[in-house]
Amino acid sequence: MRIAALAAFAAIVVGGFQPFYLRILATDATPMRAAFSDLPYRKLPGFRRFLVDVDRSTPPGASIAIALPFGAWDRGYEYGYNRAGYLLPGKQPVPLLDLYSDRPAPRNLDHADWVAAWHAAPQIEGFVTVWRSADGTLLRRVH
Amino acid sequence: MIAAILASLLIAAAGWPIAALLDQRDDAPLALRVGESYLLGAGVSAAVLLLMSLFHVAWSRTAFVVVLAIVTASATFVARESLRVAWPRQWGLANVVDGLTVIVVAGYARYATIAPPPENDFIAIWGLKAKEFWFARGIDWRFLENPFNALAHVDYPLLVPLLFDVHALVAGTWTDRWLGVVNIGFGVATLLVIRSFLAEQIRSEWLRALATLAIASSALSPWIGLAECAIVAYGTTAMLFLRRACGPDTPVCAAQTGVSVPHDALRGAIYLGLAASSKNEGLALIAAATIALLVARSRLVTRLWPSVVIAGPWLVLRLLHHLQTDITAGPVGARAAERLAALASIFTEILKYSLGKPLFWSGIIVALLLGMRYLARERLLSVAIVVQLLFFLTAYVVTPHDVAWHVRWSWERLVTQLSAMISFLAIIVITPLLDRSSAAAIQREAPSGGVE
Repeated sequence: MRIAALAAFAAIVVGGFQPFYLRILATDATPMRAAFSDLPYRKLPGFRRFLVDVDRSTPPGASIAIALPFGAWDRGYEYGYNRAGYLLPGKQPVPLLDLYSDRPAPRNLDHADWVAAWHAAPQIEGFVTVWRSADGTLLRRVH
Repeated sequence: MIAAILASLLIAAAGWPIAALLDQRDDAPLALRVGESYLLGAGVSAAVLLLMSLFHVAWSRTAFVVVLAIVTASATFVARESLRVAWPRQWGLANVVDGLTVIVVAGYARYATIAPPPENDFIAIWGLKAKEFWFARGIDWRFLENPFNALAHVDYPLLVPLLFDVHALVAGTWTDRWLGVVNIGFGVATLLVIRSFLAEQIRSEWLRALATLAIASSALSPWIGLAECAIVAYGTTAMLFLRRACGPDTPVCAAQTGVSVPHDALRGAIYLGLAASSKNEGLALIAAATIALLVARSRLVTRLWPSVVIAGPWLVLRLLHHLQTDITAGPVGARAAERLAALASIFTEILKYSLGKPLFWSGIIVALLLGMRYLARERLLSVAIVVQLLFFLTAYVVTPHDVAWHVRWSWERLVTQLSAMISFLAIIVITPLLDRSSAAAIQREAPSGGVE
């Protein structure tokens, strides 16, 4: 019994040990930092840069519709919409998909004063283009 | 980085007199006091920001520090007789293993702060709310109430986002680069608390040091920027105090540690309340602990009242602001009936996603089997763990999401919330087989039913 207990204890100690936490102490932090910083945004190239520009161009409290070329929450829209919230603090992102289904929700545009369209240049009635970049287009409501 | 360290020290300093107040010994172990100081200080700091918001006081560094200083000074005055601690006196070769644990913690600290937390749930939930509140200089109820923000799980309790805001307030700016220090604080606090309880259980210094090293990876949550670190810390600490409150079936009983049973139960209940203030699973843990206490020591159940007092205000606020929880949205009954009819499919999904660390989990299972005869004494922890696991399964039965998706993205994380507790239990039940002096002490205590 004692030998079995020793073996179990050894398995817990050895199996629970995370050598990664030793390796990381000897790792060059710079490339790792760059990789980790990029990690949450890498599936939508340029999206972070685009939203940083949108943030600079819009006033505090702005309601910004997030236009993405994905027709379903779990096929990319949720990924982008969540990140928009974080990158546009103090502003309200507005989804263009119904929250509880994948149906388009163009009526949500009524709640938005701005439209941030990633990798697109839409023409939307009542909105004018403020600027366009390689990453996307920002539109503003005119009436 | 300096601001992050200062904020952590401020949090621990605020918690020190409160920990002393609860302990009431003038020679409490240093490790336990430091661990509890961070845990209680984090709770108090978050509570200060919550109260400032409720009284419409805009957050500022000065206002926060002044209010926290008043709370700390008051607690210091009341606890002035028990502020001191007992420093560790004996250092031996076994402390070399502790040195390895410290290196592991240092590696974890580097990992946690190497970049802003990259986790999706930090960006979508915990960090998002903290950042919104920081820009609003208070809890932004309009943000929480807006249906467009439902994906941010607006019903989740706010202790962890508020703690991120404490760091932003001390730094004077939103700096997600260093928010991983919250993970470090909770992880180190958990390890210190566990080490103190191991010291009461295991006489062999080698075994004690190795057990601490073994539990380190469970105490240090790998999910940086998420509330998992808080629930591991508060949940494990709560259950260890409640376990000690249940009786002296351990080598060092309550009489020897100088802590009376009511205080242990009170401390356990406070940490349960703080667990419930960190994540909804903490609410489930209150229920699991209640059931476990009914089995292990029913007379102590009423002493869990502080957990309800601490967790209650957020539940009331949630209700007042109509913050819906997604898990019970829609036709719960119909969903549950449908899923229960195909329960096997849930287990199939669970088996599909590995918990990782196969050697570790094999060791845990073998240890629990070998120490089966001691498990009956450890019924508080055993029952609480089993019931909490059942609550996790219940969530999969009622979830409005696709079960496969939900299991895939949560199962490993949920089990991690309990893994420090499970590791402690597994090690404790095989200790009598490994360490004869501990076994002899347990035999001496064996007939006892506990102290009241």
